[in-house]
Amino acid sequence: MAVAEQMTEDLGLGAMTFAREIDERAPNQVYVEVAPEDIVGAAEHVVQRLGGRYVVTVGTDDRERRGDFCASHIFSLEDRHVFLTLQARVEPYEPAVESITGLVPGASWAERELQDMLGITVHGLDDSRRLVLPDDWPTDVHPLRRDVPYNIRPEPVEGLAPPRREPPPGASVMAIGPYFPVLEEPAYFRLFVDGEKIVGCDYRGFYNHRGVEKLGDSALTYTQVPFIAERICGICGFIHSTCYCEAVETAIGVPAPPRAKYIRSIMLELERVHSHLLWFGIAAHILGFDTALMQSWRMREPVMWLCERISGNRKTYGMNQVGGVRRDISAELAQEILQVLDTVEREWLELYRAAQGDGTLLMRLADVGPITPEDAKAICVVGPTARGSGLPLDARIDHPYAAYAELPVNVITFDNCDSLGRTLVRLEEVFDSIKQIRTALRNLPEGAVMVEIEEIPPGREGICTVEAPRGEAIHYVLTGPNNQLAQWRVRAPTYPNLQVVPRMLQDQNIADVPIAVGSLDPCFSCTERMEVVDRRSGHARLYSREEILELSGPRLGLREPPEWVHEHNDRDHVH
Amino acid sequence: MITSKLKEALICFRAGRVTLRYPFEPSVPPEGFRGQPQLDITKCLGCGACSMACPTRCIEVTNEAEQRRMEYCFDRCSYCGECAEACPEGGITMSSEFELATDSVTDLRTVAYLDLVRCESCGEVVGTAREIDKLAQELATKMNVAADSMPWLRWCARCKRESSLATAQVLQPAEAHL
Amino acid sequence: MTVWLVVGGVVQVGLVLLLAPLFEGLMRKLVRARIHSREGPPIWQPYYDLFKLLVKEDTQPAAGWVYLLPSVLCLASVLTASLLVPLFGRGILGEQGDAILFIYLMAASVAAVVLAGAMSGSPYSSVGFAREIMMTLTVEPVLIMALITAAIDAGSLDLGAMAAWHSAHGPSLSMLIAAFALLLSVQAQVGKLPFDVPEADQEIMGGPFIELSGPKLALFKWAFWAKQLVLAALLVQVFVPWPTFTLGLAGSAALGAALCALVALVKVLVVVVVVAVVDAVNPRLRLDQAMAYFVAVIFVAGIGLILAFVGT
Repeated sequence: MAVAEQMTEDLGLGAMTFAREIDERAPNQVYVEVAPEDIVGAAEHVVQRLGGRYVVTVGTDDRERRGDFCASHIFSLEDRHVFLTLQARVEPYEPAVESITGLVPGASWAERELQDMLGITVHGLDDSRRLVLPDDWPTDVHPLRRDVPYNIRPEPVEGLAPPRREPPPGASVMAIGPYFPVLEEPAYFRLFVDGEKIVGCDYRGFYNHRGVEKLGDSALTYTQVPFIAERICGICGFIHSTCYCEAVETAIGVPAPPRAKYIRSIMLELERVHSHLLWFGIAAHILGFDTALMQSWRMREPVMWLCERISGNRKTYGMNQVGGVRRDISAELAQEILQVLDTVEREWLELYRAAQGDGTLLMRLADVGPITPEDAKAICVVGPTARGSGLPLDARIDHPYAAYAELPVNVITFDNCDSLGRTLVRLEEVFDSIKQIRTALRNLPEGAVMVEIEEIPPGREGICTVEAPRGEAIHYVLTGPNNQLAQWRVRAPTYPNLQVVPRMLQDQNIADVPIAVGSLDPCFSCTERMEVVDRRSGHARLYSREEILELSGPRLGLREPPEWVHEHNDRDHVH
Repeated sequence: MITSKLKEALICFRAGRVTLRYPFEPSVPPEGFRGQPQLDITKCLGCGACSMACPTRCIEVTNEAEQRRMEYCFDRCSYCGECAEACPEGGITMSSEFELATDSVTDLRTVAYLDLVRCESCGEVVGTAREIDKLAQELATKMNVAADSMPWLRWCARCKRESSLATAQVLQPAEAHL
Repeated sequence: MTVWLVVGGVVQVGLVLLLAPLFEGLMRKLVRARIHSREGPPIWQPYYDLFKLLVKEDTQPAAGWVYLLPSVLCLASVLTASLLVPLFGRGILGEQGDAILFIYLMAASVAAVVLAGAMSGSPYSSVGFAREIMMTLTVEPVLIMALITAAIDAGSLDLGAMAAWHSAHGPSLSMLIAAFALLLSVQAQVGKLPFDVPEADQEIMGGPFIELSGPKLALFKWAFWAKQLVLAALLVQVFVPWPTFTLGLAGSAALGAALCALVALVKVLVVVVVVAVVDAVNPRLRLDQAMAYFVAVIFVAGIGLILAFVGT
């Protein structure tokens, strides 16, 4: 409690008279409970007086445990390396909160998601169309409420498609999507164009929402979630599994062993290297420059081989587990890594120098898709998108995870505020990442790579950010009983970054749309994941004699058999 | 501009041709690759640990009248290797096989049947014969008794408890807190 | 004479049709794939592509031969233009048509693309054909000015006469500038990077061609490959006609003609390789950037034109 008091004083939370409860539930993670009507005032205090940067909003159906809903706005206080969460308890019958979009425009999507997924009405949204739910999903079924079963297939309802925005007079509509050649995933931008100039834009996405949350609801245990977490994204899988594992480790206060943390950092930086090389290739391909695509991907291939060598797979490494990593890096392997990195660095330097003087390439990037630092702050963009507009945001510095507390990360920023700036940030980060891996390998501590975790107590909360190649990814976890999560919220970096698109495309040329959107390195699958694992919470209770008999020995204290065992009805249970 | 293009050309030509004429020449995965899991059914005890560990529910364990049916549906496999780590007998190993395309999904499935032991008093499933035998042997070695001297190994958990509770004094909940 | 014209015409059209995909295949395998550091498709791939498209079902919004018109028009105008190119002294239709007809036929092939785009209701197609028109406005003048330069030099609009004059008088500054400008415009004429703005797969998904499928798409592809050959042949035969062997080495006219054809083929190959290399090492420009570029090229061609008036 003393820590929380200290933080209260430090952070000036005492001035927040509306705070009902201030609690530090994990190191550097402060939770402030406020009444729903005070949420906007509290957010204003955090943003304006404490300099908080809005991260994401998490909705929780707490009706069974506490009899209400909870809407939590998570803010990041970079200078103090603290996460501050404002939690509004919302009454269960007609749940509603005030929108904070007047203060933080970037909160729009997360608040629309609250409406869609939990049925918490948000007053004061200027765009309250449905965001996540499909066009024919009934309005009264909110998938993340716990009384909605995971396998529900409601009858499709006609006429619920969100209304499309009308183009301004004189403009015609040009569709980019839902399927478009250079957007590898579905997304639907309706561009309002006047000739070749864009005068407005409407977005409909979330076609990739896979409803994984309800799968997790019935079957996944703590140790199984990392494998679905790394499948949130096909490129930055290790980021999501690390983020999940560290969030759980933070929540229960059992950190992974130092060696595991270093290995995580090594893998994360390898992932950044191959992701940036991949991105450069795709950006070049968007511009029709397939030679740069092929060469960039050729240089990337040895990194993929390394990943395969270390983890047993090019992607979806299956390395992370709550409590550590599943594979160690031997001394010989470390040598191989260093050799490959030398080659990659040399080749990348050549390409970097060649690209710097490539006039036709620079012509297509400079002044394309401008994002002013003001817009970047308002929409709360992250990663190279923020750093390309001069904001020095980097989760590795702001909220150290893995081994970054001990690794000297160099935050690379450019003030171009356009696609070129974002490109240069990525090109240079490759060199810094290679440097990080070398340092990490040199300082790799001895010891175990996995710590045994006996039991994960319920009701613990944890937040972890990981600086993905695209920006900061955030996982929030709330532990539950029976070896399962009660709540899991994932926010991928593209989630805020994509919200800047309408501002970025204003007055741009149609020809520049693909590269402008591409310069965000958008990952729609990540953005549209929404894995939230809910688990019915059980209360402490006494067992009757009959119940003791029911619980056969091996089951006590261990997890329940997966639900699918029950699904294959009429079959006997195993254990 | 021109020098830059020349530099690019140099990068291109120095690399040579790097793509394989796959599938006309083989693509060999590195050491430690996690490919299709290989089963050694002779080692399988039928304990179902692999099934519990599997995040994608590849391994289905069901009990029939006299036998336990283990179905390994590797068409759903995500090659994480959790089953190989979970198997107490080392009956699953990760191979380097990855060319798994097939006309028939059943090619990727294996079914094994193991004899079941049912509780001698109530008929409830106790485990597979291999499981019980293994347990009996280990206990016999540790406790230095004959392997067939432990009839309770063939009782179900409930009957074991029933018999224990019959002889033990059952505490009331209030006392249990003391 | 007419019989000779018909036979020669059929043979030459057949050759262009047969060789055009081969050049494309060679470029894909030996230039593009090589620069990409990859194995690349078989040299015969363009033939397979054409065959596949030709036998494919032709989906079209409404029945009617009129939808076939653009693709046929495009290929027909390119093939006709090929008959004007002076391969052996004079084009097969050299008597009947001159540089003006050639320019018209090239414009007709562009008009066919615009027509195809206009027939589709897709917004991508509309943007595509609008871009095609804009590009033509800056690219076409380069061809016109280059040919006028040659015409002034040779004092004739006959393509054969231009070739003869150039080969007789040796290189002149005006001609070299015109040739250079023409070479720069070939890239855009045949829809190669960095000037494939009207098609721009990654931006407008093929533009005017977005709704074309099967045989119609095949004819357009074929026409573009043939156009590359025709323009390259025009460039090397009219503007760079040396070395010539018309006099014959050992007094044999047939050997001279064969050597001529071989040298022409090699020169065409060089042009096509240059086009393919430029295509491989550049990203696509934006319409305004591409137009600005060609305005500069027009300026250069203009200098050539002035020099031709002056007589150098």
